Amino acid sequence: MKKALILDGSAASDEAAGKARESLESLLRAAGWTVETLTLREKKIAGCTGCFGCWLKTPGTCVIPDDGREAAEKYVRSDLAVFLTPVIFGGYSYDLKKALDRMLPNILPYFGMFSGELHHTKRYDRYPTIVSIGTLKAKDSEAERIFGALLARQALSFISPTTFSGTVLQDQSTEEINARVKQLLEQSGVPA
Amino acid sequence: MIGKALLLVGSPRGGHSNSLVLGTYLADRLAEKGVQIETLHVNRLAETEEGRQKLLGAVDAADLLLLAFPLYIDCLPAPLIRALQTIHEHRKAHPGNQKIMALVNCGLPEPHQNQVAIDICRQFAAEAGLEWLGSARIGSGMAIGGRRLEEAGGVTARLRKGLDRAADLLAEGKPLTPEVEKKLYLPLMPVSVARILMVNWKGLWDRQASPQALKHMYDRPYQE
Repeated sequence: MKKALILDGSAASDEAAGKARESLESLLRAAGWTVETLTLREKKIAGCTGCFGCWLKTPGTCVIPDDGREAAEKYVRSDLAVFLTPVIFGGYSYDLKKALDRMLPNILPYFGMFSGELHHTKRYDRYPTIVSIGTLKAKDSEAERIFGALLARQALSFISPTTFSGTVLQDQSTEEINARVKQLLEQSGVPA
Repeated sequence: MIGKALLLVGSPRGGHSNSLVLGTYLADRLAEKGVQIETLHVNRLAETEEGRQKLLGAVDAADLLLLAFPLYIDCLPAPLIRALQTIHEHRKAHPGNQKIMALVNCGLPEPHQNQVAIDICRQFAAEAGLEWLGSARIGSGMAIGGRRLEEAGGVTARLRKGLDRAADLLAEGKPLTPEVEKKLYLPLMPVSVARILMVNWKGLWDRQASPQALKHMYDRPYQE
């Protein structure tokens, strides 16, 4: 059975993220996926200190013993990872970015060429497809562009086979958000 | 004219970092032109109310914000995102008349890998009502090696010239010209040389690893 991991970097007050999360969980389970959601605001994840201990002391594992390890482990064991977040200046929330910063152990320190540029190489044989869903208070084409460009970069850094990103608005109805989430999942290959 | 500049160092390392070195070089050039400088390490500043008040007090006192930070997984380190959110919320309630410039460096040689991070900084500026003055996007930042730029030798010669020229403009509150931004869009080592070195020289990392870690470099602790 395929596994999906939702990394929810939204605030409790983010209604659009709440609707998107429910839609994701429902659509994925209906399609036969196992779904786990990590509500990052409730997790104890310290910031990455840039010590490189995950390569030079305890290869593959962050030296900080907290929920950051859980997120990294579940990420690499999933077939689909969803980054759910408010769009913050075109990028991710603090909570989501903290968790992602702690995923360096999942790749090797060594380098290789990917799509014509240098990146770190794989530690594992496979990595999940990534879908990022951002919430916005109002339509902002530049913020949306940056949000999509960010995931495209991370496709290389996270060595993801494919990535898709999209946004939903706070004033959209549950049906509208459901339709957008369904579209993104279908683009990523999940029959929903 | 800029009276005071605030250097916000976004490296999660806290103390000494290449980001601090880069930001300090630019800040020193501004100081030579009579600009008063304050430096704050963002790292955990925005986690407490006391830290946030310290940050906002420093922001309010400055005419120019300089962000200096390392590329973290293709964009800003998480603590810097939080600090910018704090400033944004404050500026919504208390509009100001400030300017901002950002310097980002990454260990990878290709400067374009920094572009999305700069786009995020520029979007922050737009949303917070700050005037965007430009950026520096630097590849192979580890060539600085934590040394002052003047001591890092020839690899930083072009960068120093670019930052000197940037300081001329920033001190007057002017945006970087396309010519200056181009000077500050650079790898500190030729990209082709850096690629060959970094792909083929595992010793770059192996020599830093503990003997125990060397035996386990390829471990897969999360393999099912």
